[in-house]
Amino acid sequence: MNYDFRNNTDFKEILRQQEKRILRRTIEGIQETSTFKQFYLSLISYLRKSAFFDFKVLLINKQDLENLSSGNCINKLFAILDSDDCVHNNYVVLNNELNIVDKIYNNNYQNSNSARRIYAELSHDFVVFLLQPNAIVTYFIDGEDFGENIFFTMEDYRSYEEKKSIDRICELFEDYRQRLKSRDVYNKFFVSKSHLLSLKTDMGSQLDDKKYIYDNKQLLENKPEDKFREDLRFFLSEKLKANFLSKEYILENFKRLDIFILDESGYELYLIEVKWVGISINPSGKKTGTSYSERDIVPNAVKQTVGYLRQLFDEQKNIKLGYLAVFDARKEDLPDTGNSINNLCFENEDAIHFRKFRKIADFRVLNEHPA
Amino acid sequence: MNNNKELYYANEDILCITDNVKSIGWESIKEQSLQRIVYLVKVLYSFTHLNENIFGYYHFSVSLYGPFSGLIKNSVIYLKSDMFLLDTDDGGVKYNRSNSFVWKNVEKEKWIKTIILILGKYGENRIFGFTINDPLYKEAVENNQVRELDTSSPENRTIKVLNEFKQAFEETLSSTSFIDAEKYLDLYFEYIFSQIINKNHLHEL
Repeated sequence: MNYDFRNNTDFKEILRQQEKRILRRTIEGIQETSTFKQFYLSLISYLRKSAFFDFKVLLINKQDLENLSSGNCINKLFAILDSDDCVHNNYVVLNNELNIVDKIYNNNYQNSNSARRIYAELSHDFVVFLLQPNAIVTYFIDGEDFGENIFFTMEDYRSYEEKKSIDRICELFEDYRQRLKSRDVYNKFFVSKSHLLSLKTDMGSQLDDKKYIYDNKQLLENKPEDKFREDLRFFLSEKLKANFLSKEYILENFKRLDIFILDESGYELYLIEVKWVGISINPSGKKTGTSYSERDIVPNAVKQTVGYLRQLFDEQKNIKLGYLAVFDARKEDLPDTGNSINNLCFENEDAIHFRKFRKIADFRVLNEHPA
Repeated sequence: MNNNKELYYANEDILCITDNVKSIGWESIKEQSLQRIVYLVKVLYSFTHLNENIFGYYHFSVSLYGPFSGLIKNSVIYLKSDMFLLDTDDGGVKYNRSNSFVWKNVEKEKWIKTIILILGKYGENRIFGFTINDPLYKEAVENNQVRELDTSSPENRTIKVLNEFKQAFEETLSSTSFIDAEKYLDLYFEYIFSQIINKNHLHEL
């Protein structure tokens, strides 16, 4: 985040463009009173707690809004919003006792520009609150539209709201599986054709070039775990409404966790341990290097991940789930590396933490364009 | 200041927060949110007030969940045991209205209310994003700082950033006389939120 506001020309350009709106937003008026702010924030709170997918216009005259009866205001407001009168009408006029004094059903306008003109017109007589999905409340006062923010648009906000919350992370794993079929994505995991040809010479292979490249096309770059981890982390951070630790999280015993996620509210933790199976090239690039098979996943990687869950619990962290993601770059099409997990036996200490363990179906990575 | 006095002042603040969030429609509040709100209440105080920080009795350090003060933790335990706070089904706490409490410090109450009315727009779940993106907190995390965060000094990183935020307005707009310090704070939080929603959200630790 750029905090150097004085030298940030983009920031200053926004200020220039938004000067009128800043003036309107900050000039003294009813919107600056705490009664107004409480009423406005209560409407937002109400929408956050409701399954609201409509639009509704609340009108209340300035004097009534300034003189809202304070006793039990919130409960009364929520009860009114839940009432049949309010549910069946989308223009509702309230008084300072928060009673409905008028109501109309008119579904012709919704959120169009013509609707905004009508709200602006109405706002000469009333303060107009427009309640919309995604807990968005905008308001109109004295013919002015206070709908837009200075630094972000409602469109930005809606696309942020459309990001998935962490409880839907499994849907993203399926989307990620599709992403792995894109040449731009899978290419970076594997040794290039030109590198394979020089490797053929280094290894003294007698095969013809085409055959050698075909036989070794699944050879992974050196340290592929870094590339797999970063690619998965980048994908998830774009699609999830959550906070990602920018680097590996280190436990008190100095073990490193690959991907560590806090939900949007920063209360619940999720971890993803990233492994791979297949063969990678040696750091020198002149011979094959590390190889991993399903035996490295079950039991080793599973026990390692469950051990992390236990340790986070011991460190009093609110860990919800631990996922094991395995990138399968083996030459052959083999069964999922987690197929024998159910036969695993854990000692008592780990058994209770195994309940929070999830094995994601292998991410198959093939160095070929899907037919 | 002795420990009892500190605990008494913290109790006042926690009850003030739990009472005020009710007025904007939050039925309960989580203990971590109390930690985060009090942190912002304290660190932002010097932007609008020239006098000594009246929340000086809080001492914060870095944790995975954001700023943490042991005094707040103790206060919540105390207030629960004395039934001023009640546990709620969603894992939060709420102010027990049958147990009345009289606030003595009007200035503290006014400032707490100001911060709640700014944060309220974004909802409880988003306070975490504001605390981990607070310049002072972020700086401490980036430097692996283990000592107490300098939340009292008017020279701290957050106040410097806020002053530069204000200066950028003054250097750009034809007039800024209509923007007071609280409105700058309101705009500043909107800017931070815009950055959170427009970018990948990475949490340093």
